[in-house]
Amino acid sequence: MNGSRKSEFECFARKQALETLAHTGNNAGNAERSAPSSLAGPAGVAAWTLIFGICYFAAVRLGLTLLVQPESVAVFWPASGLAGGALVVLGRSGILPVGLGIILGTVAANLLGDRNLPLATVLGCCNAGEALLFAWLMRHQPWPRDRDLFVNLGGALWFFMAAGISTAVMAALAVSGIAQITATSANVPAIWWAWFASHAAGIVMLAPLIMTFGGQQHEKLARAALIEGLFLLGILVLVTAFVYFEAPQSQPLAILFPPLLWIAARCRPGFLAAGIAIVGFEIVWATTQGLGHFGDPSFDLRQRVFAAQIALVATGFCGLVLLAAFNQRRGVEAALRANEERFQKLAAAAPGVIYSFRVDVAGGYSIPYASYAIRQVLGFEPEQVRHDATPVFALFPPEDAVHVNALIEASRQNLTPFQAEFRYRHADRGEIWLEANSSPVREPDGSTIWHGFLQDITQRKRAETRVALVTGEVHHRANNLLSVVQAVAFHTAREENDGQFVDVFCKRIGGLAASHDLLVGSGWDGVTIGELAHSQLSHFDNFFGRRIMLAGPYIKLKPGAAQAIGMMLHELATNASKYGALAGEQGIVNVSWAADRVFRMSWQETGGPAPQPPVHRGFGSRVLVEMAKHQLDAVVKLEYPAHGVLWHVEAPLERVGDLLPGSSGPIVS
Amino acid sequence: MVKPMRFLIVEDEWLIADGIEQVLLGAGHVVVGTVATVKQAFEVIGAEALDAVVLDGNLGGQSAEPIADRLAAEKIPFVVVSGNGTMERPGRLGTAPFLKKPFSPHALLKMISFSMLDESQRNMS
Repeated sequence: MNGSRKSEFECFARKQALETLAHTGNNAGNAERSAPSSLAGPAGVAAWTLIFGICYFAAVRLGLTLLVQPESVAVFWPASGLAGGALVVLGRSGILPVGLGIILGTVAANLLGDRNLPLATVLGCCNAGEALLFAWLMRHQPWPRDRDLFVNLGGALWFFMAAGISTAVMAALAVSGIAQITATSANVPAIWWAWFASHAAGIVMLAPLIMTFGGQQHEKLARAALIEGLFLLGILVLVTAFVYFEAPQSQPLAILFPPLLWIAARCRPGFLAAGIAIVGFEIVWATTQGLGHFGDPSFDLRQRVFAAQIALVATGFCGLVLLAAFNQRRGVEAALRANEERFQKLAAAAPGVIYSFRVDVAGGYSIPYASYAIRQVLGFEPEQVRHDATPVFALFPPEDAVHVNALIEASRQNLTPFQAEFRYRHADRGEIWLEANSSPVREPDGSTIWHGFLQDITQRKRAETRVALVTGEVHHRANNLLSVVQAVAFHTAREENDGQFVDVFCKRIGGLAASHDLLVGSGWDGVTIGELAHSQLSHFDNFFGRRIMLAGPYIKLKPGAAQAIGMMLHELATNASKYGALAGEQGIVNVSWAADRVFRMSWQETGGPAPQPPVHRGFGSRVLVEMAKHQLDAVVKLEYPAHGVLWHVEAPLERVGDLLPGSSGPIVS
Repeated sequence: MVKPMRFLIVEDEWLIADGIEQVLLGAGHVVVGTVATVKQAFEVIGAEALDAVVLDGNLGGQSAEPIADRLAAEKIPFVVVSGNGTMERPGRLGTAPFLKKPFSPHALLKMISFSMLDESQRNMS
């Protein structure tokens, strides 16, 4: 588990490193992408063949100019570096123009000398083959992930191996070709060595330069970085001249290293590649012009050339290895930086505090790390609690502090995950609820560190409390309602002897249900008398405005009063439809109400049959009188004059409900 | 036949209060008053000699706890009736003899005779 995580991280870090360096440096391994599109088509190929041919021809002429006389021995062969570097940069699309250009350039240069066409062609093919083989090897590194020669030690090492292998193989082919065509048995090993050493030196010296400048598109270089790089290259020119142009062995080679090291550590890869080329040219110059150690004619010429080649390759090797080492380190740093940045962004976006909480051996609390959300959640700056978390814990209510401390101690002893919900007295926001989740780790010094997450759960707690309240209220109301139903059944059963129990009972329950529906619909916030009357008298719907007149202001009834008045309206309407104003065709009911500090309501019937006062007070009239007295603290009048029933109540407004603002005037419906 | 006792009924829902009253009257007791609020209850407790009280725990959203405290102070036994369970009733409302709504007439009478017997034994000891 841990292993795979680690390697995942390494892969990630590596990827980050490469991505980062792709912006800051040159990625020779992926140089092919930038091949010019003009290489497409026969005309393009022909044009580029000509250009490469001319360049290659010039490089060959340069090499011939810099031969060490009198034996015409080459220290390096610049054409090889040019061709190999170009082919790496151009990739597959460069094979044809570069290959043909090399052959053309070689043939032209050789024909200007004393060689014949067959020999020149063989040499041209060998030169082309060398560049192709080198480029192919550079693209087929056996350790694939470390291909970039400027970023990885593996890539840098493979560069030298590719240079050695391609030149060694092609030197052998060239030597056998020369031997075939000239039919001489001249010193074959010497010729092979001269070819191999000078071509390898040429690649090491020039290919990195071509690869950096021909590779990726370049990010703009800061002026300071450019000045620094050029300054260091100037220093390098002078130091190299001082080392190699002066009298033999009088100057220590070691002074070459400070500028090289500096360039590798501070500058873009291009500067180092240029530095290697500069040192190489000065070595070649010293050798051919008879300057310094390598130009000392008192030594054997071939030994001097060999020493110069060793110095050249060693310089390139040192430079590239240093650069790769520095860049590799830069890549890891960049990956760490990217990781840190990502963590900071995540921490900033998290809906809470990401923290590390520490309990030292003496039992002291501290918060070594906390994301900036701690300002908002706890009201502290991270720095304020970095070494001492006492100020935070001082804001816990005492009983919560005891609880949390016990949980911390249990988690510390058993190294079990810590989880707690607790209250916190926030300086600005008052008492809030927090939830912490973390996992403990024991440190070598015996202290314990929890890494975890702290969040504000005040909203959730409030919602939970509300749900608990509502649940309790619903429970209470349901039981109360069942008791009411029970009481209605009890009363109805006592008075209804003529077999109508079920009918009367169901209608009364229906009235209760209608009031209940209204109350639930209003969220138990109260209903108005108009709404209540409409719901209780709904089966007289078409009488409203004609035979049932409602008039009064908006009064928001309390739930208890609404249920009671609903029931009274139900009883009044039932009675009126059986014996009163609603029984015949003409009667009218006036329902009116008003309120100041006293609530008044009346039900006045007119135009119906003359009412008969009940013989005994049944449940209906008990509801109209006793219930009103009891539940509304009302004074009740229930009369049966000849023109119709009159029911009138007066009750304290606070027992009934609230007069809605701006509605003191009567409304009629 | 039980000895007639003088009752006060404190219950905001008239239908339930009336039901309780009918049951008590039917059992031969006297109902001194039927009230719906704490204020009204205090008035009756101050004015009348009471043997026992049937007390609703929740009077229109207001807790009946002050009444329970007053009754305990005056050593008047009472039975709490409520739609809420034990956990939701604070203080003396939670510890007094309790009848869960809805209840049958029989359960009410049994609870009264049981808790009043309990009370008289406590007084004797």
